[in-house]
Amino acid sequence: MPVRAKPELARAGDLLVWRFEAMASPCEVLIDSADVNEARAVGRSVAEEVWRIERKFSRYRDDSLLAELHGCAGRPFEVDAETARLFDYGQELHALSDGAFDLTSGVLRRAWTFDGSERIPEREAVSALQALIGWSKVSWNGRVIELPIGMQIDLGGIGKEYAADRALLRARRRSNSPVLINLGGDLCCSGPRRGRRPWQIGVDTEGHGQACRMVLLNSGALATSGDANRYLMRDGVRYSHVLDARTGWPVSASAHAVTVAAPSCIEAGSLATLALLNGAAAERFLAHERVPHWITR
Amino acid sequence: MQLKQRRIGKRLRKASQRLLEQKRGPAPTGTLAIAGVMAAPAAMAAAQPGEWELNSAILIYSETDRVTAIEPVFQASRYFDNDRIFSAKLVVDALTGASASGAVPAQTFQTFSRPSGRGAYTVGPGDVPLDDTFHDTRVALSSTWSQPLGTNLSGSFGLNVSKEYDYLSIGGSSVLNWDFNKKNTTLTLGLGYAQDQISPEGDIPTALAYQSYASGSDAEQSQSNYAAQEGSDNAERALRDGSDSKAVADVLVGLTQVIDRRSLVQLNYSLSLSDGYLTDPFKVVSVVDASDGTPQGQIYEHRPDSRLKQSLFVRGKRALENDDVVDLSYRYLFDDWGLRSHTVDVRYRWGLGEWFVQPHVRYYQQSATDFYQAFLIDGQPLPEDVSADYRLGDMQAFTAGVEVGRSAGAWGQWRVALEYYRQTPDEPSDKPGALAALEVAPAVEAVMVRFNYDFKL
Repeated sequence: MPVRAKPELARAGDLLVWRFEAMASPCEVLIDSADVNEARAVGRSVAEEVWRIERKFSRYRDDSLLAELHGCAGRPFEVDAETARLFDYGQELHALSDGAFDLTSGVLRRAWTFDGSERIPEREAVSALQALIGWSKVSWNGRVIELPIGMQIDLGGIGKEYAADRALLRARRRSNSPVLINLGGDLCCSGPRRGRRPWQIGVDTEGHGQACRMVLLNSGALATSGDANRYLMRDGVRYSHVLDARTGWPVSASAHAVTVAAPSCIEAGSLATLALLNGAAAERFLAHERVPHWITR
Repeated sequence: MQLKQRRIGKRLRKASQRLLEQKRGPAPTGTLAIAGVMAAPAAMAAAQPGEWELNSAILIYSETDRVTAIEPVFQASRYFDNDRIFSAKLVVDALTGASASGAVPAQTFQTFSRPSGRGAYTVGPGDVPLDDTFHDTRVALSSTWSQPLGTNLSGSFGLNVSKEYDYLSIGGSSVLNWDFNKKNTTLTLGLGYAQDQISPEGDIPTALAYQSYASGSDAEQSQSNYAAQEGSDNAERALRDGSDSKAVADVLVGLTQVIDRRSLVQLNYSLSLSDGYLTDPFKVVSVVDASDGTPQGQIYEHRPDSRLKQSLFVRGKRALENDDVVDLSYRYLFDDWGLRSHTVDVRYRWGLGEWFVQPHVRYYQQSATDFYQAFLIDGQPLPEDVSADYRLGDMQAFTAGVEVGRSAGAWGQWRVALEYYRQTPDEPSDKPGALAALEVAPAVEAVMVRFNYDFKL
């Protein structure tokens, strides 16, 4: 369990900012209000919701619901409504990506470590893991899941975006002031700022820790998939960290990063992920979907 | 390995809406934009289950030299799961001041009996007789329960009681809303029924009976003349009933159509049937001399004992590109008393960030009921139904105002409105003798201030 910095309220220009850490990312809640107590209450409620989701679905914690599920592999396991909705969503993404996105593909991390080095795994190691991947091997009826022994569910691909959308609902209940939630680059807002000004968002598409593009957001969400620092390089070939669950290997010619704007963070994040999985066709895919997007190659 | 090229946006949108438990339907942002447009000028984010929404308002209405009303309103709504809402509302109306009795002015002083028979009041030459006994407090309580009745059907059911010193009204109502055409069209059916009882002080006057009356060249003379014949209507008073009642049934059929994500139109037809005692026991009609126009006395008015009112209402609302809102409406009302009225109402909500300013103008034009007569001519047979109440005569009215409010912030929302109202009744054309020089139906001016404050608990 990583030690977290204590959440704090700060001023950034005419905004109040509540910063906290969750899901291995720096997170922030921007509140367009002068009321410090209100901002603190909104910030706390957002952090609590994000931490709740993290605790429930973390793959690192042994008291999470997923840990419990993995302990029951080979046997039917009944899940609550929220988990069921997430599994249904993962199943839909699996179908929409023809299997390239898969909730069970997390085990590939055992073979792949994207640290900028040239450690490309052996073909055999990846093939061996392929036996543990495939949503079609899972029995799921909308309430009860049965996971073959050795297989695991990983909500890493959708959890953070889901948490952002959920937390925004909580923030809205707390306050009528405009709010923007940023969970490590996946963000959503309650609407325009006071005076109908848009939120100005710097998007770090290069992974240098600094904003390369300025995006104006009036409503909805913005999510980025891909990270310029997470890749492997050998013999002049760049292996992106975007793995196709059907092969266990990186998608060839995938973009470095894709940012998409959509009504909800989960929708934006999913479109960005699907664009990466489309490899060289990412531009064509997003143009076809007619959503605002920014692609870095 | 390439993915098939096809649009997946729709399926993904649906999947994410299911994940986030958002209601499905036509483009959610679109419907929300319109929902905001439809609701009260400052629409709050909808309350969540378990929350209370409280609306409070105070209205002050003041006519020049006439009625002043102070009306506080308090409403509390509790939200439950599955879109069920309970709401209770309290309205208090405190009225003071004077209102036109219906009698005409004269070149002399006039002394009138109070409708209750207790005491008299005197008005000067040329003054429109105002009955200053007007003083009442009304308390109205209502409660409503709303809930979905099916996927596209919702209903609300209400009870209301209203009590004044001499008046009691008890009623119930229900409204059904049916959404179809992907929730872009709503059909509304409303039904209401109320039973009212009036027990005026001094009982129900006998229709068309003469009231005690006198005139004189000065106030004292008028009052002493009155004292000399006071009690001339004792025989009539002895015949009075203590109370009377009426029943009112209302039906409304409405259609609301979303045109696009920024505009909608609303069309309502309503029908109201009243049956029973519809006369105003405090109003009289002067009987004047055919040649010199001097009042000879006045009789209690009488209105038909049933009234069928129908109205057609059409409204268009549109949110402009900059989110300002234009709201236009027109109402045509007609009834079997011969009254016809037209109302045109225009509002423009001008958004300034979290503030808004909404100018408002309304024009109203009405043609008289068949039995309206500003006065009767002495010696002519009395009609069966007659009223000199200027509110049933030909008239125009104009309202202009502005509302300012704040629609955001942690401390709820407030708005304040200021309106000016001017009512100009038509002067009767055939005033005999001295009456021709007098203004029988002067314009009435009023100022209204309303303050609203909404918050959640």
